[in-house]
Amino acid sequence: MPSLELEVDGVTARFALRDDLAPQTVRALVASLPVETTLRHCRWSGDACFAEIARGPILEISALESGVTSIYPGTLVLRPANAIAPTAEILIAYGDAEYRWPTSRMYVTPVGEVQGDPSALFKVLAKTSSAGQTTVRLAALKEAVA
Amino acid sequence: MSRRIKIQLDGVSGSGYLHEEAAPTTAARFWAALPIEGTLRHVRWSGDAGYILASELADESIPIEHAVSFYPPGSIAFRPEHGEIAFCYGQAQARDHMQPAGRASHLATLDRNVEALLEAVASTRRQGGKPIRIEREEAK
Amino acid sequence: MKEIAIEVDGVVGLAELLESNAPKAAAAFWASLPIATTLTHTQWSGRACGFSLDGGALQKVGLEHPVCSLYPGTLGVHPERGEALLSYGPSEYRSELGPEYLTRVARVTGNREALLAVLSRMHDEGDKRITLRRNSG
Repeated sequence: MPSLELEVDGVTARFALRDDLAPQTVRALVASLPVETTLRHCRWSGDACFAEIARGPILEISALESGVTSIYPGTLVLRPANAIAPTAEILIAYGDAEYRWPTSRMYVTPVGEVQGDPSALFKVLAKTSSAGQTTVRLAALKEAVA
Repeated sequence: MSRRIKIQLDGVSGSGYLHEEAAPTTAARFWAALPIEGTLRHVRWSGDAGYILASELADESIPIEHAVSFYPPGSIAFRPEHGEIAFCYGQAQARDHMQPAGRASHLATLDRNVEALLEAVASTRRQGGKPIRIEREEAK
Repeated sequence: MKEIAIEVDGVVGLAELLESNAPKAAAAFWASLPIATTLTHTQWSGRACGFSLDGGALQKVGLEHPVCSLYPGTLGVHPERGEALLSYGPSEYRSELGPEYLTRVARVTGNREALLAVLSRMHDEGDKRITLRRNSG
């Protein structure tokens, strides 16, 4: 299973990518890495952070795969680019989270699951709620590129 | 007089009439496609209903007519995007995975041997898919 | 890690009990094992099959970290209603009123594909028996 490495505030976590649930999205996401972008705490979606990806093949993805509204803790999900929001958006949940916009619940594609003990990652993600935005780096791991 | 259709589901027969005035395009397309045969399966998202997918009727350009979101019991509802023909026996709504409240055309209403036919539709929930045939009931 | 063996139609899958996600519900569910009952395909919740839970201790547990979506291979319970759902594809816990919430208590990790394939067949084949028993822990 392909995987990626995510780094926030000096904390590194590995995510197994769910190409069984979202083959096209995972392929396009991996092809769009590495990415360095701004990570912000969600306003509507609960205990989760989000970041935009503004370039790469991921912008060609428009359809959801295995759409979910609940975002389980330690799950990486992706909202494809669309006419209203032309960048792709990734979210990572550290607690109870559900993808929402101001008017309703929405759907996202589940793309990855954190591996190992997520407590350090969850701590830095939660910190963005009070400390504000930070930077996130995502890079494909070697086996994902192969 | 409305055109009538006959349904045979796993040995049970019943019939109903098309809503030609309220759903003219849908009724005409449906009538032209008859007879339709296949397996009636229980819906997974929409509640008390069984459904058949008629691929020849899957056409998003067919408008929603005589629109409903909740299906009245004894009604036959049609969703053009899937060519889905749903037979409702209780509380049901046009729903999908990422569409909690969709719309359908109320295509026809059952009026003969309704109870037995709907019982057979309901049985697909616990017993699995059953063979169905929908055909024209020609005026005598 | 506590593990549950789930058997449907001769296929056995293994599921990890999600104790850290739902300590009360997971403990009560574990205490309620073994379970042998009828599994029926859901009619509102999508690609999932459900079974009834006997009341007992589980009934007194509230929702923990409630979710609506059931990712494939997730076992969720609604303790108060005595309902359990096991998903094999896209699924949301819903009723006639719309979206509902439940607690995740386990997820299938072993022989996953085969077990989910059996659940998927229930749409065509109808009810089956399900047994859940402690496998380790």
